[in-house]
Amino acid sequence: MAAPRLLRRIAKRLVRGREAPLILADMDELYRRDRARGLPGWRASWLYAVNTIGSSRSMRRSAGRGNGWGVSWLDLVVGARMLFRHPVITLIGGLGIAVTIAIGVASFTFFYTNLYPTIPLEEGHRLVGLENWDVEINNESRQQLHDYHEWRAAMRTVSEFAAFRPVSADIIGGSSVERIRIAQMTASGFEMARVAPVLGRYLVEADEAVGAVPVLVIGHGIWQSQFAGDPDVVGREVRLGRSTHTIVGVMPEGFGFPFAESYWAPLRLDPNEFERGEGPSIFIFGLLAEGATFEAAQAELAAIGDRASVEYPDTHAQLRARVHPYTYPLIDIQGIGLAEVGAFQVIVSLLLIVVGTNVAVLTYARTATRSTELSVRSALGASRRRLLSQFVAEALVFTVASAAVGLVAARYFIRESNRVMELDLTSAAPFWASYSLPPAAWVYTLFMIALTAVLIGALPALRATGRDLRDSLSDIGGGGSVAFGRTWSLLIVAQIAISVAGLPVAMSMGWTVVGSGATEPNFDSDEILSTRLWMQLDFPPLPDDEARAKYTGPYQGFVAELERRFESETNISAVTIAGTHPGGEPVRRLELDLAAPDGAETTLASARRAEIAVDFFAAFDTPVLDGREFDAGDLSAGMRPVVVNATFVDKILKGMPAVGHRLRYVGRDGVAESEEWREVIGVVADLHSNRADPDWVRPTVYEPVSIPDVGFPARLIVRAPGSAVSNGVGDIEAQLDGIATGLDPSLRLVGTRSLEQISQQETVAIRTTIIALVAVTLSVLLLSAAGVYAMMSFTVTSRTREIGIRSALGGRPGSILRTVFGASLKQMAAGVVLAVALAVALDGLADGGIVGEKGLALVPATALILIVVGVLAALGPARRGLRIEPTDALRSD
Amino acid sequence: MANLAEFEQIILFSVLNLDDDACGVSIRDAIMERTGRAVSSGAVYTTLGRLEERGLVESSERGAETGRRGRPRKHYSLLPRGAQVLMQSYQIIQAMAGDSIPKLAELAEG
Repeated sequence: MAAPRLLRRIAKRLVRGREAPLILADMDELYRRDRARGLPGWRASWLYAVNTIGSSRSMRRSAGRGNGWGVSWLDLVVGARMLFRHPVITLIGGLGIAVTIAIGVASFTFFYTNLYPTIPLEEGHRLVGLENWDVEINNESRQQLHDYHEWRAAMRTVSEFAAFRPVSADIIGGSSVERIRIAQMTASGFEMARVAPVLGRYLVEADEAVGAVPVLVIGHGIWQSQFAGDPDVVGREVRLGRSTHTIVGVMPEGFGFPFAESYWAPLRLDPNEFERGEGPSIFIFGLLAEGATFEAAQAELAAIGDRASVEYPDTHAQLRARVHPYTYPLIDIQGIGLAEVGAFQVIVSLLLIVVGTNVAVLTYARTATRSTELSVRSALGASRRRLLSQFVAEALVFTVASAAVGLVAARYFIRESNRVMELDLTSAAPFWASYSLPPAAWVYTLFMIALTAVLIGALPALRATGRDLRDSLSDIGGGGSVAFGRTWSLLIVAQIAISVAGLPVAMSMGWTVVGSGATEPNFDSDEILSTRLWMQLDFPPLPDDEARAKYTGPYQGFVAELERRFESETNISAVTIAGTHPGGEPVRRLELDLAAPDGAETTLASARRAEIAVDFFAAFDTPVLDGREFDAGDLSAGMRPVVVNATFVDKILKGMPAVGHRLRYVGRDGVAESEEWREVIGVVADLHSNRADPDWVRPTVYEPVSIPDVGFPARLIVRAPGSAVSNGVGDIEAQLDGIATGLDPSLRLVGTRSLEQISQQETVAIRTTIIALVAVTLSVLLLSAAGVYAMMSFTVTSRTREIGIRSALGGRPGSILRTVFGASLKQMAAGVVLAVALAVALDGLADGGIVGEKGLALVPATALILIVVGVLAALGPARRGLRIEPTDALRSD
Repeated sequence: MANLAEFEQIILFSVLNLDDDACGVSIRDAIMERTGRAVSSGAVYTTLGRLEERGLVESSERGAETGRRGRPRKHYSLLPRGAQVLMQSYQIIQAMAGDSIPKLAELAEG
C-alpha cells in the first residue's frame, strides 16, 4: 500500500539532493508500515507529510539554502512590530479583515455543518432521509405511510428503515404540567442508532402492537432534571395527557436521535387504517446497505417512485421519491441547491477581497514610504523574491492577528445562529449541531488568510519593487520615489465606487432593521398579557377529524367561561381574544375597490390581517376615528365587516374616507381567495407608532372572529392595570393558571408573557443582524476614508518639493494646488460617478428593494464624507508645501 | 578533536547500537524508541552524510530486500575515528556532569 500519489509527487518536489532517493524510499516504507499496523489512511498520510516537510528543511539547511523564500523569524517579528508602529492601519485594516473573516467563516460553518453534517453515530455516514417530493407545489409530501411499507419491502440499497413523527403532549407530574415534544418512532430507529440505553431498554417492535402497554423512553437530561437521576426510574409511570405511560429505558447523555429528542414513544403505523397519501406526516430514514452508494439508492428509489406514479396516478402522479442526506428533510433544506450556497459563499468571500484591496491601498502608501529601505536592501544584494517574501510575512502577521479576532467573532455569530435555530425549531439544536469550527472551516480560514496576506503584502510590494531599485539609490534623501500608478488609481476609483454605492445599501438595510425595531405600542404594553389556552389531549394523538369532533365543543365552552372568570377578577380590567399578539399579524395582499360599489375600479395593496374578538378595541382603549367598531351583530352569518387602522387610510386610501369601501384577500398570483367582499365599517387609531420612521407602522385590517373560529390554542389577551409585569409575569401567571386549572384540570396556560416581553424578545432576534451590519458599515466607511486619506496625503507628501519649487517660481497657491490635486480629485470624481451608476443600477434591478429611496439619498452624503476626508488629509501637507522657502526647495535638488 | 552536536551524538550511538542493521529507517526507529523524538528521514540522512564526510562513519550499499521495491539499502557502520570522537564527546559530558546528577534531578523536579 503506497502513499497517495499526490503526497508522493509533492515529496519528490520538496526533497531534493543526493540522498533524496533513499529518503523517499524510507518514507514509503514507513507509510506502508504505518498502514500495516492499523493506522488509518489520513493518519499515515499526515505522518508522511510531516516527514516530507522535516526532510525538505533538513536537506535545504544542509545545502545552505535556508528555506528558499528566505522567510525568517525576524520577518515575523518585524511584522509584529509594524502592527504597533502603524496603529491606525492596524486598527482600521484589522477591523475590516476581522469582520469579513468573521462573516465568511460563520456563514461557511453554518452551511457546511448543515449540508455536510457529521452525525455522531456509529453508522452516521450511512444514514439517509427518504421522502416524496411534490413537484406541483415544490414541497415535500410526508403523508407517506403506504410508501414507507412499500419502500421498506422493495429497496435493496437501503437495508434498514425507520420512521418517526414529532408530536406534542402534556407531561403531568404532581401539580406541574409541561408541554413537551415526543418522538413517536419505530423501534427500528433505535436499532439503527446502535446506541445502548444506560438504564432499562429502548423500544422494541412489540411496543408498536395495537393494545400494547404504553411505554416511554427518556433522555439522560430528563432523567437527571425531572427524576433526579433516580436509579429506579425504569418502571415508573408518567401521565402524558390523558393516558399513563411506563418508563422502560433511559438513553445516554447527548443522544437526541433522530433530531433533538428527549422523549421517545412507539409509533404505531397501520397502513390499513388510512388511504394511500393520507394519514399522519412521517419522516422516513434508513441506513444504506453495506457497499451501496447514495447514488444507487437514489436511482433505486426513483425507479420505485416512477412505478408508483403509474400505478397510483390519483395520489402519486405529481410525486417524486427522493433520497436525501439524512439531515436535509429534518431541517427543511432539500430545496436548497449546493450551487446557491456556493454562490452565496463566493460573494461573502469576495467581500474579503474588497476589504483586502482597501487595506492593500493603505499598505501601499506605507510601503511606498519605505522605498529608501527597499533600495538599500536591494543594493546590498536582497533579491526581489526575498523582499516580496518579507512583505508577505509581515502581512501574514497582520492577517493572522486580525483573523484571530475574526474567529472569536465568528464563534459568536455561530452561537447566535444556533440560538435562533433553537428559538425557531424545537427549542433545542439538532443533536449533531456543534459550536466548534469543523476542519473544513479551518481550511477555509487558512485559505482566506493566505489570500488576504498575498493581497495586502504581495500587491503593494510587487508595485514598490517593480523597477530597478538600485537606480533609485540616487533618490535617497529626496523624498518618496514610488508613485501611485495606473493600477492603484483604478483600485482607488473602484474602492470609492464600492464604498459610496455599498455603504448606502448597508445603511439602508440597517435602517430597515433598526426602523422596524423602533416601533412602539400606543397602549401600555407593560400591563397587557398574552397567553394561550392549552387543553390536554390524548396521547398518542387521535386522527385530526376524530380529535376535532371530540374536543371542539368542550374547548370552546372553556374559552368562553375562562374569559368570563378572568374578567371577574378585581385586578383584571379586560379580556379579549386575538389570532396573534398586536404587531405580529401576518401581512397579506388584498384587493380594494376604489370607487364604485361593483368593484369596477380596484387596486392591490398589502396589509396586516388581524383576527380579533369584537371587544378587542375596548380592551385596548383604541379610539374609533370614523364609522364604528365591531359589535356582536357583526358575527352573524352573512356579515363580513372589517375595520381598518389610520395608517391604512393614509397609505392605501391616500386619505379618502374609508367607510363603505370594500376589500377582499388575494393570493400571490392576484386571484381573489373568495368572491365575497368585506366592507369597511370603521377606522380606528393605530395601535403602534414609530417616531423614527412613520412608514414602519403597517396598514392593518381587522376582522371579527367568534369563539368557534379562534382555533386551538386560543390566544387570550388580558389587561391587568397596575401589574407592571415587564420584569416577570410570575404572580399573575400563577393567578390565571389557577383559574384555568380550577375550571378544568385538563386546561393550562402556555407562553404567558406581557406584550412588553414579547417586544423585547423580538428585539433580541434582530440584535445579531444589527451588530453585523453596523460592523460591516463602520469597517467599510473607515477603510474607505482611510484609503482616501492615505492616497491624498501620500500624493501631496511626495510632491511637497514640487509645490515648493512652483511656489518659488511665482506660481499662485490656488493654481499649484489645482495641479497637484487634479489627478486625485479626478479619481475621486470618477469613483463617485461610478458609484451613482452602480447604486442606480442596483436599485433598478431590485425594483427599489436593495438601495431604496433613503439609500439613494445617502449616496451623495457618503460621497461628501469621503471628499471631506480627502480634503482634510491633503490640507496639512499642502500647507507645509506652500510654506517651504523657495531657496530651500531649490537647494535640495 | 572535532566537536559533535547533540543530534550527531544520538545518530552515532544509534549506529553503534544497531551493529549490522544501521540503516535510515532502523536509526530513525531507534531514536524514536529511546528518546521519544520523531525525526525526519531527511534529518537522519543529512547528518549521516555529514558524519561520513568527516570520516566518522562509513556506508555500504546492500542488495534489494523484500518490501523495498528493488531499491538498495544503505547501511552505516562506525569507524574507529568515529568511535574515538563519540567516546571523547561522551567523556566530556560525563566529566562535566561529575556527581552533580542528583542535584540536577532535584532542581529539575522543582
